[in-house]
Amino acid sequence: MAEVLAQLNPGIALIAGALLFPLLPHVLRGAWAVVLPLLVGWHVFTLNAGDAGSLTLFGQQLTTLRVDDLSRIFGLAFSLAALLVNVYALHLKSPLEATAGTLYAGSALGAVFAGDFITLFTFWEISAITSVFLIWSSGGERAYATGMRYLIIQVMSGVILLAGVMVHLNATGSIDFKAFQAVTWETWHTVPLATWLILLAFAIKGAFPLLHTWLVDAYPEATPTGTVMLSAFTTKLAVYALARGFPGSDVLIAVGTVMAIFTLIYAVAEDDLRRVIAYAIINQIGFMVIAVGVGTPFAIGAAAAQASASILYKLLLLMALGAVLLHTGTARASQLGGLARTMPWTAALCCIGALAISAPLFVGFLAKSLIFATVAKAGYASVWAVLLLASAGVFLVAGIKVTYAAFFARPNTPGLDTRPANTPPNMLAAMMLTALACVGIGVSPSAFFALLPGDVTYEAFKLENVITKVQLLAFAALAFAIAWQRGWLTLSAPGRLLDTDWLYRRLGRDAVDAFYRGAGSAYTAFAGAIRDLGRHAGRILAAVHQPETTLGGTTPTGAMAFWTTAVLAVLLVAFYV
Amino acid sequence: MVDTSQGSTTRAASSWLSAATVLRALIILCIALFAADFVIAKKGKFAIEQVIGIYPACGFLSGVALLALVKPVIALLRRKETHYDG
Repeated sequence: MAEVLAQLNPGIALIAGALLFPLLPHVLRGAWAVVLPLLVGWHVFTLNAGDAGSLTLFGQQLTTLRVDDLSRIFGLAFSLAALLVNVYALHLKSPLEATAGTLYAGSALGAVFAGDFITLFTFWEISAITSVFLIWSSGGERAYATGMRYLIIQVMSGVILLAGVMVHLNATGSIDFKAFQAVTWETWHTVPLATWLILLAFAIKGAFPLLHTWLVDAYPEATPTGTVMLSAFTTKLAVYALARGFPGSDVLIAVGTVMAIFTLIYAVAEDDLRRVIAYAIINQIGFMVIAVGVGTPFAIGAAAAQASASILYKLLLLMALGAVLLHTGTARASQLGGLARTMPWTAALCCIGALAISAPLFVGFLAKSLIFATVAKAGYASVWAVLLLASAGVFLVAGIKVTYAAFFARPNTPGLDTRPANTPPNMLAAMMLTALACVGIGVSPSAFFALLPGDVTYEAFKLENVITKVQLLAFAALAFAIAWQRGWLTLSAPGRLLDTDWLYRRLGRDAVDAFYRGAGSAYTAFAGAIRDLGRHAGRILAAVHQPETTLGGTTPTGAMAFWTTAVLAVLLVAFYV
Repeated sequence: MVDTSQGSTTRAASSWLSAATVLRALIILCIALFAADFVIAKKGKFAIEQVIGIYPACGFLSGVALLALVKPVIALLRRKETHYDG
């Protein structure tokens, strides 16, 4: 048994356990949904480092289990996230979301322990297919269309990954998932096609700029529980894959910097608060991508820390918004406000989620301190300055704006601050557990740092580090408070902000429509011309072939005799002359 | 545990969290934090970190810039919710 467990990819264990969900009655399913991630988390924690689970498929040697510090920290973060979201979903009578969510968590977990590309690809695609049910669970045509767009893009990422793997296998004869040649500004032109394809697949899943719209399109359309589940796994799996495959690729530093900034411009003006968090997720991935681009062991540790921290505080914020959505039926800033009175626990926990993004004594502070230290050590002054602005900015939009708009602003819908809320106790319990994790890790970083790859040692609570980071946040909050007090605060307006998905959802669709219209018109014109030509030809034929016409008419015998005689006379004369 | 209504339900939400109170508290906090810049010894990697008030300036600037962007972004990019439908 111990030998089997030592070879067992934890993702397979979670997937197998999740398949039992639909067979169990509600209470038993709830208990199993809590126990299963705990068991799997323990399995992750106790796995020995090294490769295991050898399997031969199509002549290729698969390594279904690779354990090292990098896979272990992501595995633990995913197991914890699976536990928290399952607690959050306990009240749901239907097994669909819990099953799909846990299968999805299992596939992400399986991917981070994959030692080869075929195993990675398999779990990569399972994660795409299982997660779409969290969007479709919302019901309706809109959710169906959103889910289809999400699925197409996710599957496309998998297909590109597979294409890259095939080219890589053909060139190198190996499917081992290890670091590629770094993609740097000096060497990018020497990078082989396979590497570009695999990087593109990771970039799609990681919501890189211009490839990011699937995330902000899909996450806010899922159910309250579904959005929470979706937020934890897909993008962090991409960060893991980048950290494994592309450490030290300095083009990623530029990509991450763009991600950290442009998303804030959208988030600050977005009306749907779940979409605000979706943009903030991309912003936070930017921090991780920068660290991966630096690529030192310390930087990879910082990226893993930021990924783990980001999972927790984004879960907490989305859980709070899920409770708001369940109570009010909306997550739009333009329809919310005043909920602190009727949902005080949720408001307090949302405040903790906001602070956990980067305030001292919370998990985000530790992770961001490591990222800042990474960038400073590498000597990227301009990136460091951008991250300062982005760090204050994300606290403002994902922390202050979301909390204020939902809980403390004047209610935009009459009666919202007086209608009693009845948040299911399991949702509150999940939020409390998540908040506890945010604070627990935040106040006691040594155990957290010990789990990180790269032997991370860092004194986070140096007075200088604490004061400067609090200055950053407090002065961002001051700007917000001044605007609020002076009545200058505009946070959003109902409607939808155009993003690059406009290219395929509007321009692309219009172009296809125009093509079909043009092709239809051309066909009609062509068919009309052929018809006219036929008619014209018919008229000509009729003109010469009908009775009494040139060819169809009957010629009188006398005329024929006359013309025959005339021709013979002409010939006779010509012969003798 | 159920997150139910607590306290009076007749007062406006903003009556117990006024902007002026929050602003006053933040001004006091920010003055104290700014003053701390003169006291703490900074050993940052970059020279700019030694500049007094650089972190407060970055935080404030970021906040102002983002809040100032809201209206232009809405004016430029906002469309009807049904923009992509049909």
